[in-house]
Amino acid sequence: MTYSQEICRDFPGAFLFLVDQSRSMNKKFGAGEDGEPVSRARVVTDALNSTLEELVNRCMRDEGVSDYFEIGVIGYGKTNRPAFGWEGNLAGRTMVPISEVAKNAWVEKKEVETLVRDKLVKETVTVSKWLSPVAVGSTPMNAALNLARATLEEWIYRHPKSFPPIVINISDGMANDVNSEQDLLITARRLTSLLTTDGSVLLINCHITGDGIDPVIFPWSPMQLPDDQYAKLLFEMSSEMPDRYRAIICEIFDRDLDATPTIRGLAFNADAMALVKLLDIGTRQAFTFPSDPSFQADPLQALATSMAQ
Amino acid sequence: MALFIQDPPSETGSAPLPAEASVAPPAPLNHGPAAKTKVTWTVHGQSAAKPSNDYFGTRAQAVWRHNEDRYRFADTGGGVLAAVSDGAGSSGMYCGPWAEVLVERLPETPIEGLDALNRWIGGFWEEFSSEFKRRAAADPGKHSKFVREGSFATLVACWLRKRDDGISLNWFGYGDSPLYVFAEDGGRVALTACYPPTLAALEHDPHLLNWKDLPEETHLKAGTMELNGRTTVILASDGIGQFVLLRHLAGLHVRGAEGPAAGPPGPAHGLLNEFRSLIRNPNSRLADAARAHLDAPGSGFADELTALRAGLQSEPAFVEMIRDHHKEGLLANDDATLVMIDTEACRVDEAGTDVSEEDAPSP
Repeated sequence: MTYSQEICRDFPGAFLFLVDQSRSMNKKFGAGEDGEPVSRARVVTDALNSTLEELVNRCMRDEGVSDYFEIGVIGYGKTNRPAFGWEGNLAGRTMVPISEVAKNAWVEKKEVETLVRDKLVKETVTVSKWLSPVAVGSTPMNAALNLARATLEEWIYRHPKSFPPIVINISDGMANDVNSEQDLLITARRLTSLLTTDGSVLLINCHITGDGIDPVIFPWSPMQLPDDQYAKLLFEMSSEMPDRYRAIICEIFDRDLDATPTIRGLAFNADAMALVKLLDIGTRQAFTFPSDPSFQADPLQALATSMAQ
Repeated sequence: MALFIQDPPSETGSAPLPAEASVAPPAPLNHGPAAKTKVTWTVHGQSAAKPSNDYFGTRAQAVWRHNEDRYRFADTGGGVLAAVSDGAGSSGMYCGPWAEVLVERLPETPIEGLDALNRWIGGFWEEFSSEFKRRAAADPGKHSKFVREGSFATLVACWLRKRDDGISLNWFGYGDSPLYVFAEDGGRVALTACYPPTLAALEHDPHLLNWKDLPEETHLKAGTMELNGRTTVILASDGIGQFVLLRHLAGLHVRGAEGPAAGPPGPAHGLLNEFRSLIRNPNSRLADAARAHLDAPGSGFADELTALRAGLQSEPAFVEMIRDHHKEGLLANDDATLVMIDTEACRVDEAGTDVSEEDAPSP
């Protein structure tokens, strides 16, 4: 379990996003560009669209978009059963090669200010979108994790030597399709027990509230979390992050690497910024391609910038 | 591509001491009154896309990724200009064309300092930006990426000029495309200048030239030096540049080269110490590469340089050489560009006889 396989066309990576679409996602989650309150569903959708756009950008060359990744988005809550949440031409698809994701965005023109040789210049660019906010129904997270497992079992069969798939689960509440917390933990463990030759599936959980409580991001110990049974459960469900992530996370959060023996893929009580950070760091291995030392922009900054735009 | 120039017109000029490179001091010459300097230089260069290249679309209708490296060398009349620029892959758009503009627009005289570099880029960035915005207009994704990120490339360039007492070399580098100077003396090859100056520098993301950004003083490295005797100047993109340096250091390590055996005091000593630390480090991609070179000892670095010259004789030979070294595990899967400038500056008497030995300093 080395988590060292480079991402390339022959060994693509996979990102599967699980998105809570339950009614509670209608709750306020900060303010938008115009200062008006925005819902959790809107913030999560915007962050996901930005993440997808960033992934497309990293795969885009002069000649086209190279299929370094397959992407899936599962929504849960809209109906009683989770389902892949692609819209438009991609509706009904499951894991989609990134070149197809790129081709099937809907784009909006936008005027932005960008720095050109130290001067702010106005430019018209396009912003790509794939997903719309949804907030109805319940929280069938357990079924979503099961659908993720079935999907990735098949994906790994096709790509047994790839870097293991990364699942990012964004939710504001507890699953309501299980009898006990233990059931949910068992389902999560079954998902993270799926293996490629390079390692097991990584599950990153993002619990959002935006209630002004300090978020806990990438904890190394459950002692860092609030005294909350659900927080402890999410900690247990979340994967231990490979060393390549541990080093990046310690650098970003200014932690002592030597005093951080392990890191869990979890954000608890996340606000909008914590959500963006988690999505950025969770997809960061996307920026490491074979023999490509060239990427020098800070992806977190890029993502934050694109969200701000 | 090759360029051969013999005995170009003499020019004089000042040659300040090396500033930013790791450089060995040149040996002083004791010129006889009737002797003059005869200079020859031969330049070869080739570039190849990475051996295991990416494609776009389906295998049946594949569009192969283009090589994003560019190089150039030119006779400047009494001198030679050579440059390598490595367009930066996944960040930015149109990095290959940007690399091309950088090498093609280089002036025939050295760019000295940040202000000069900035003024030089200021002369063409807008034309480049406008042209490629126009070309990307039909593809909103590409256009947006180009506008937001710009285009990234390294640049390493050097200018050689004949002087009364040898050859002057002016160079500058921005990014991780290396420049090496090897002095050859009786079959022994010694590294006398190396940019970037440390192996550690190869493990960090490079800072690159972008038409959107002002270049920064801290990332611009430059210097000048004198070349005497037989010298080989190498400019390369990072993958094959790393290959050349690790071949040299692995050879020195295997031969247990210390002190005089490693050549005159110079950058090889510090690099060899770094190399020896590196091969004991289990957690580094560069360390893996260093160990691979150690496991494949050659017959000496002079022979390695000869093999590289042979590879530069034609594009197919270069492509094959790159592919072979990649298969051996000695060369990263990366676009590869190599420019070698073989120079010789010797003292000749009026009859044209080499009198360098007679001119050599007394022990």
